[in-house]
Amino acid sequence: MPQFLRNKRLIILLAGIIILVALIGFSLRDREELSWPEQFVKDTVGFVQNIFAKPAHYVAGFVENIHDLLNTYEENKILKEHLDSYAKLKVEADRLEQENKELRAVLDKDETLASYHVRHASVISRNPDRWNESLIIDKGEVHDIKKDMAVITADGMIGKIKSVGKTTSSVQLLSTIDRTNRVHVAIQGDENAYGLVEGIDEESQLLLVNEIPAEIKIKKGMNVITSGFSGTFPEGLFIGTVEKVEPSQYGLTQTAYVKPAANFYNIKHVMVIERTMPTDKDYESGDATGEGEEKAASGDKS
Amino acid sequence: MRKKYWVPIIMLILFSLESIIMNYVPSYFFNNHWLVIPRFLFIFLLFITIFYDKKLGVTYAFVFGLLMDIVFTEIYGIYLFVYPAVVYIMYWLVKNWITNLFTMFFYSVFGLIALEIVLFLLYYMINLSDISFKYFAFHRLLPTMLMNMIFYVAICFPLKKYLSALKKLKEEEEGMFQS
Repeated sequence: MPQFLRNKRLIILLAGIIILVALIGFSLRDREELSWPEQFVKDTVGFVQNIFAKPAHYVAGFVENIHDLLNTYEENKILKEHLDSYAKLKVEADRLEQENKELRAVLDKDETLASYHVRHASVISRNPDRWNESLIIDKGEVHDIKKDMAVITADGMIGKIKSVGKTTSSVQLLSTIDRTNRVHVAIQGDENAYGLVEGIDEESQLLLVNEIPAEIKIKKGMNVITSGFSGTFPEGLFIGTVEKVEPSQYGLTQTAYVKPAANFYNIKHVMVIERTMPTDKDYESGDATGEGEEKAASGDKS
Repeated sequence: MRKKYWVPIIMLILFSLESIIMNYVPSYFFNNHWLVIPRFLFIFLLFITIFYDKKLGVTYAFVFGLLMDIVFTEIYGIYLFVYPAVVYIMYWLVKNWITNLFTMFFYSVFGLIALEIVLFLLYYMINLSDISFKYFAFHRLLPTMLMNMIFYVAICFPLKKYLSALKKLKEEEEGMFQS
């Protein structure tokens, strides 16, 4: 040991630790934008990884296809059983949509918190260390992707855009434990209950929804969707179903454990959601109403 | 001479492979409760440092640590610090011991455990993780070890051969300058 901790080395070690702490503190703050060297490095790495990712996608897709083929008979049986109820549901949904449209026309209001535009993206890679769950996707600033947009798969919401480069961006999954990673959600019942998604319970793989008022009764199987009140996400993105409920430490609120609808693993394609209603950011930059519609038009094209 | 330039290319390939593999492996085999973290790059770094060139190994550890931080964690200082530190300490520990592929296996295991535990502590300190050490040890550390050891066995022979050839080249070169 004494040899290892000679004076010079000791000083280097101590200076290293000080710099480490300073760097971590510096980068933990919530940043609006990446600097250009970061963007450059990210995009370059993304480009290189894409070369490897594309063949990997094909191979994995092939394996999955075979896997699907083997299960076809079982799945078909189940699907047939569901088919009847789907037809009924479809008719009902069409009728309600029509009615909704007419009522909206009466009110002279065409946009709701729930309307959004979709941009499709493929996943290039995933953070190999599982502490900070993030994905890199192959769309960026040039494809009109902005920070804090919601990201979903066909099954449900998986996270939000954490940072944007020119041609790539990273997605922070809902399962990341981070104090800036909160989503305001509504639990659908007779009366909606609102809460905040705050990371995942690692041992049961269930999302934690905190800050639900104690007097509202939450039952197992209730659906959890985004509320749209947070000012960044549209309303109605499906997150999951309630698995169990526990009162919080002081009994003033309760915590729901939510089984996420989307699989957080094995994600290949995602959809980036931009809400049509102006977001908090638009209000901050001062161009609230006009810009939203303009963006909507460009979103349709892409 | 040419042979030398393959080192950064192999590292880049391993770096990409690590993150792409993550997208496919876990939920197929492990039902989401066992997390495996591929550390191919780290094993390669250990190989370079111990079998080839210490300075080069630590420098690469630094560069790829920075790359990890920029691309994935977005918290500067985590891999930037952990990769070079663990690689250097491993080098310092084993420099007077016998190094062959058999002992190297245990050095890699030890290095990987050190890496994972330091990372666990760092993330725990900055409040980005809330799992208990016991859960971490059984559900992350153990499967990670297993997967990386399989990788080690698969890659160690060709890698050792390649690095020995590199080292021979380097020694010849140095000998040339001295005489």
